[in-house]
Amino acid sequence: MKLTRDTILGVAAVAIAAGYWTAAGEIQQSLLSDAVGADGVPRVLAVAMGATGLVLALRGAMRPTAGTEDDLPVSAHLRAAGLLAILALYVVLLPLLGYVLAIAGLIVAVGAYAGAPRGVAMIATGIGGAAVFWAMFAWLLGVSMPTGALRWI
Amino acid sequence: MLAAAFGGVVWGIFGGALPGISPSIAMALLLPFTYGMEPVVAIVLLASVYVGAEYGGSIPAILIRTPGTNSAAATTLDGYELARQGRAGEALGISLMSGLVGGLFGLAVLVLATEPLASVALAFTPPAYFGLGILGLSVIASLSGGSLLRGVIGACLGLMVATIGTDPVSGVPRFTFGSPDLLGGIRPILVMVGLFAVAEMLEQILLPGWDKASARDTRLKLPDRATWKRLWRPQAIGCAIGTFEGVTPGAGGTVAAFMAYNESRRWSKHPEEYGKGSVEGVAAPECANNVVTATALVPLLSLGIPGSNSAAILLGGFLVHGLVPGPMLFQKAPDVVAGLYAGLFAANILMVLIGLVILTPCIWLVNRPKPWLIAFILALVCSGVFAIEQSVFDVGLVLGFGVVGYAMRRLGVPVLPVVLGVVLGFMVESNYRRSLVLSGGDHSIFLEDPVSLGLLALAGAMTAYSLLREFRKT
Repeated sequence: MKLTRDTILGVAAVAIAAGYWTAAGEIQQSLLSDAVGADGVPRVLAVAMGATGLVLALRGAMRPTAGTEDDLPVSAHLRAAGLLAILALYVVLLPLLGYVLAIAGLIVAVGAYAGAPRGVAMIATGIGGAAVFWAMFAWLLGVSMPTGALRWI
Repeated sequence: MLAAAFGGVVWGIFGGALPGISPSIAMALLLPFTYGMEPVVAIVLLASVYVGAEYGGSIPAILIRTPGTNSAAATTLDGYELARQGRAGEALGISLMSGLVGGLFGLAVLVLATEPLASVALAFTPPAYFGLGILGLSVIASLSGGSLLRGVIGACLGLMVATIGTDPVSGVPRFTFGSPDLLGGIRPILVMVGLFAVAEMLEQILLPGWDKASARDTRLKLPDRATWKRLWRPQAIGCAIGTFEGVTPGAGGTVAAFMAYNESRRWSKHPEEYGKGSVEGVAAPECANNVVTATALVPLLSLGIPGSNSAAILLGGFLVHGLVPGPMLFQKAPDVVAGLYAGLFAANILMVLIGLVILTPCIWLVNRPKPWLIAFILALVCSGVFAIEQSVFDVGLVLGFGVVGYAMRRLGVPVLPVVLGVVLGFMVESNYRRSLVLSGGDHSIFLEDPVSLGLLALAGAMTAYSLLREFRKT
């Protein structure tokens, strides 16, 4: 049987609510605490989300055709995951390579992944883009960007 | 002084348009440079940055679905839809002119009604702030895109995110999992940039046809007479809500923009267009958040209460020049107050003139080949987010929210309730608990405070109306 969006979302909401409730139970109690306590509002939220998720899941089970289903093939999700992997790599490399190299690499990699024509122009766009962003953030706004491998600059 | 207004607006628009550079950050960056200036010039410069930044946030919100500032989040709804329909020039024109209307209306309120409105700020106790937060949350029912259950799940998710960090009453860490990066909580702008911009790019990468975007408008298009006729009502609503939210310390432009959007849809003759590219849906929030730029100064000038981060930076600007905002400011430095009013007027006019020059090139920029557009938007987002606190962790967090946003789209969960939950969560919880501390745990305090009672009753009425409309539809 194919799961509907209602069912998937409902079950996910119940799971998030259960995890959140459990984490709320681990909040330490303070001597300065009030009548509600640091975990009071989180527990109310967990119950609200869990109950709503349960209703949604039940609705999905009773009305399996409800809603417009989103039937993207797995390959589409993999393509989105590929872009996310490039971005994650940027996060990892930023402190190591420094801002200029990392952002130039990000521009080139995302451009290539999205289908820009490859060649010298692509590299030039990456370098030019990195120079513009560095000028905006580091030079104009005075933000301290990681220098990484270009520490000598 | 005119040069200060010009420079301030240019800097503000630039900062506001960069995701992560909030109006207060743009102002704070200039604060050290104001030491050697004449007091009136320094104050005008900082206030002009505020005006420019609040407007600048709407430019990326419309063009690339990335709110440059928190208060521009509501503008993404219909502004970006218009841009997708090739009507970016029209959306930017409406946003610009609605910003002008809002800015000038707010200034008129500031000049004429500072004294009587100051009492509104004083009437706000913790129970009243709780009521105000609940009133803000009450619009969730009508922002749920036709599925109330999904909207409630979204709102709960947003409120859960808002509980991350240090507990507002006892000070113990909550949901930080030992990470010092989470002790200060998660900034709403990180959630918004992830849910809007990163999720949109993850979506765009799936679409075929990587050529230049097909825009019908390649130039800025100011509203014509017929459009103005449609805009007066949402602008009037934006002005009224912006005034109320502005004079209330802590409420701010974000809540004003969302409420104005919601109310303008409620009173619109074309509510079905909202969310699908409504010109009114751009006008109302843009007008409201620009009213707030002026009316937020009411509690600052009259009582010395900075109601927002930006107002706090402006307060800093006053203090470095030996000026103390409050009732005595009008007697001790009337020239500075008059100069501020004149500077704000000039800033609003300059905002339009600068907008007329820069917005057409901005449209040109987003009509570049899509692979490069995606690459540069992501580079801008990553750079802007890092710039907030020089934190790589924040960039990772935004990517995480991008994944959440992508999953929400797949599962049909509306984004706006999440955003409202994140923005209002702290305000609602902290004031709820402070109120109970004051009353010794007695919930009747919320009914005994007349402002709280009124706001809660209004929230109840609005929720009931929205629910009734939902049930009638289904």
